[in-house]
Amino acid sequence: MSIQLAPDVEAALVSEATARGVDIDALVREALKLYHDRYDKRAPVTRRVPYVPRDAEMAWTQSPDPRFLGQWVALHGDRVVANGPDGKQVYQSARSQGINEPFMFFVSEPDPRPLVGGWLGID
Amino acid sequence: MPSLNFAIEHRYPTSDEGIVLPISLSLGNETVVARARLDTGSADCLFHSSLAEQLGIDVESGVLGRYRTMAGPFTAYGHEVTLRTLGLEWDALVYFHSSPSPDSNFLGRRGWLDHVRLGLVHYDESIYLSGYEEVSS
Repeated sequence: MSIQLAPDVEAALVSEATARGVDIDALVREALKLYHDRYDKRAPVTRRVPYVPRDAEMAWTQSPDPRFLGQWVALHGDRVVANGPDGKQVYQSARSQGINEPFMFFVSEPDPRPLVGGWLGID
Repeated sequence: MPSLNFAIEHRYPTSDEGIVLPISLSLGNETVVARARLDTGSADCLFHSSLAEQLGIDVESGVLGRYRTMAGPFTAYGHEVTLRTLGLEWDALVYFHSSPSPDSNFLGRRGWLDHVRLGLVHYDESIYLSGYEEVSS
């Protein structure tokens, strides 16, 4: 990733990195980590919004039509309004039909093995 | 004895796939709805990169996150989006990965669990939900 900085900001970072005896990448990493940690501590404010039930779409995904195997489908209720291998094109096709919030699902080969989640972050 | 009150009750479908909820991700005028698994063991919310692309996000321009799993490490990229679940919404930093399975979306601790009060009765396939601190939208 590259970041474009205003010249005065870049000069200040170079100066700070020199004063600390570290390279500028290490300084930027530290600054970003501090920003990220501060982000974590923001108050968790939520907003109530109208709830749009998605029961029909969720039911469809439980028993997907095998004709769509290996494809993205855009669902509106229990109807497939667009499908294809390219998710973005399928999404845009649904949007072009006036469906502003399409339910997107990729139809995979059924896998009977139980799923284990629990991913952990390193950084 | 402590007690909790919840604003939302939701029955999730009987499934071997886990506790799967409908969610939406929004950025600007784009909103995509998908399903995601509740995973309290996951540090962050992780979604497949296809959903980011549908929202017009340049995935690799985000904050790099490195994750470890029992099966090995992987990377993902964080972007701030609006996350909506069952009538609650908030802005959150979520991560997008490129695993081979596009139906791999997870609601983890940071970005989801840290925004809600959650009750779970798995035997009844019911979750109970309120925002941790709700404001009028």
